Amino acid sequence: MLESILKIEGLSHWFGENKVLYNINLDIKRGQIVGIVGPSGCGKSTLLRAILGTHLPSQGKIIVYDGETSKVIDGPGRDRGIVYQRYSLFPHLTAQENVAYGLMVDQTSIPGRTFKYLAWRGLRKKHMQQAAEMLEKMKLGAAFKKFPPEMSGGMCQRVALAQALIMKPTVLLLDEPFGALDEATREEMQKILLILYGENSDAIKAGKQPPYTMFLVTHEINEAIYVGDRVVGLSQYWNWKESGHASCPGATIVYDKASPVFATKNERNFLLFREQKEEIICTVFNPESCCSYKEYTTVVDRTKIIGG
Amino acid sequence: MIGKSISERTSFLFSLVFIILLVGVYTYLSHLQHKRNADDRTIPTWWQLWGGIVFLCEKHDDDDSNNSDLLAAAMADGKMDGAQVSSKKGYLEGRILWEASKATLGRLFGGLSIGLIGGVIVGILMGCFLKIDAALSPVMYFSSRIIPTAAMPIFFKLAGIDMEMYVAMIVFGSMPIVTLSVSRYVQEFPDELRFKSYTLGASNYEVITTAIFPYVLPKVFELAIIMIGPALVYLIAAEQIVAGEGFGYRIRILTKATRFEVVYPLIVILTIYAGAITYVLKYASRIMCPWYKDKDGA
Repeated sequence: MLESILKIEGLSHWFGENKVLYNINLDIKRGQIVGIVGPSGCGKSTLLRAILGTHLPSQGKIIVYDGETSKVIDGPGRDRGIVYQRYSLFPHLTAQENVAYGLMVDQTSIPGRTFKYLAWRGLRKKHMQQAAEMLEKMKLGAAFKKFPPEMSGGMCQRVALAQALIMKPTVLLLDEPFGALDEATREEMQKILLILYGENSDAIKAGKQPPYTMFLVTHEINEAIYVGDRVVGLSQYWNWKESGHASCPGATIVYDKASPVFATKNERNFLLFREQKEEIICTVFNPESCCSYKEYTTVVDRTKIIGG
Repeated sequence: MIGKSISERTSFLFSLVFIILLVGVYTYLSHLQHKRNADDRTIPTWWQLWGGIVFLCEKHDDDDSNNSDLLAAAMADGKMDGAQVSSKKGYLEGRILWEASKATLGRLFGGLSIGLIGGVIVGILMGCFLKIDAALSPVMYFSSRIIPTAAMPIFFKLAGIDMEMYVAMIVFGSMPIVTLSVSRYVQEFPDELRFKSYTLGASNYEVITTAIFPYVLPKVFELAIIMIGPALVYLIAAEQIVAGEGFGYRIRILTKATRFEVVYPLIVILTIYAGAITYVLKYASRIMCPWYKDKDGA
């Protein structure tokens, strides 16, 4: 049984009179890739921002576990990485410098870089080497010296992913990361995530801790099923009347199931998960749906790799 | 068609033709004026203008060149057409162009540097910390609306008529505008980048110095270029009233003496200085901010 790495307990969020999230409970295990889907405006990004720490919940708490220690989230922190839809790279840094930026600010300080300049130069060389290796892994070997405005959307997003991954965050948050990409690039990026999932599987087989835990917010059900090993549906369409509310108190989790895991070498076959996709559409996206949120608070373990 | 692009060669040719046209019109007007009055200096001939440039580059006695009344009187009498031997030993000392350039550019650099550096620091703090913004922005808005030339007598009274007064006036004229502009640029810094910096392990100070400052730097260069014009306006206006040296002072006394063959070159040289500073700032921006593309793609 894998250990919990992120727990959301009784999280509700509202902006004034506008109630967005209601009683969210979620337990994410180390090594899981959780895809969050839901109708527009259901609060997927609000939930992600709550985990990131930029929009703290109005009620409830989020706990991050790292080995023996645990921490209630009270702001953005080094333990959570983020990849946004709009790339968000530092415009003044090249691809390699962007990836090395986190290593620099995390491992050194401004006085250290100023007063121990020679030591810093040596460390900088090491950081740049690590950044180069990470970019190679993202198949960006030719773009080391390019600035973000000189790169395509797909290249920028790979740099953003490399920038987050090099820091080995406890949880990597992905906010519709491929939403601005064309279909072909999107598929390439999804395969990169599957490669990372493969590394998780290899680590588990070798009796080690899986290195990547991800929380993927997407509006593409196919993507959530294809890339993730667990799909969580967030929706405002649930049986809140039966729970005694006069009006909808916000979106909550109405779906939480394991999804099939694919190996990168296999072609994408949407037929394999058509049944699950229809189930999600019916449960999460249908205004007539009246699921009880209490049904979906179970923790889902990893499934076996299909075609792996 | 509106906005139709043209080649660089066509663009250069059109510019050249227009300049030649202007030179031709000036030559004709000068010729007409000198037919009426052979000694006229309001529209000097090209030869007179050359004489004016030589006059600016020659050495003149300290006493003569620094005493406005004496100099104006001497010029009006036409006694200072030729060079006089300066008592100063250095190669450049005593030459009007050098002395005026040294005084004016020194004041300009002093004032603009303090105005820009101060404005950038305060602007970044205002943009980053809303409490500082709340405290300072009303004062900055009010100060940015005050016309420094209108407040000039106050500067004379408070700071005297030395270097400090000119620097203070330029700082007063430029810093509030720079501060407010930089503060706005900082507030435009994307939230996503700010949050990401924290997730990568950056401290507040590191976010400011390694993410926000480089982000606003190219815009600071643009601001510096924009502020050269107003700073020169304040400076030349002040020099024309109280200075004992500088372009403003020289233009005033030479205009009084109707020595336009010297005044025009002075104005052109001042314009060239402003253009050169603009070029250096643009070049520095290209070198220091190679990622940045402005609206012209430069």
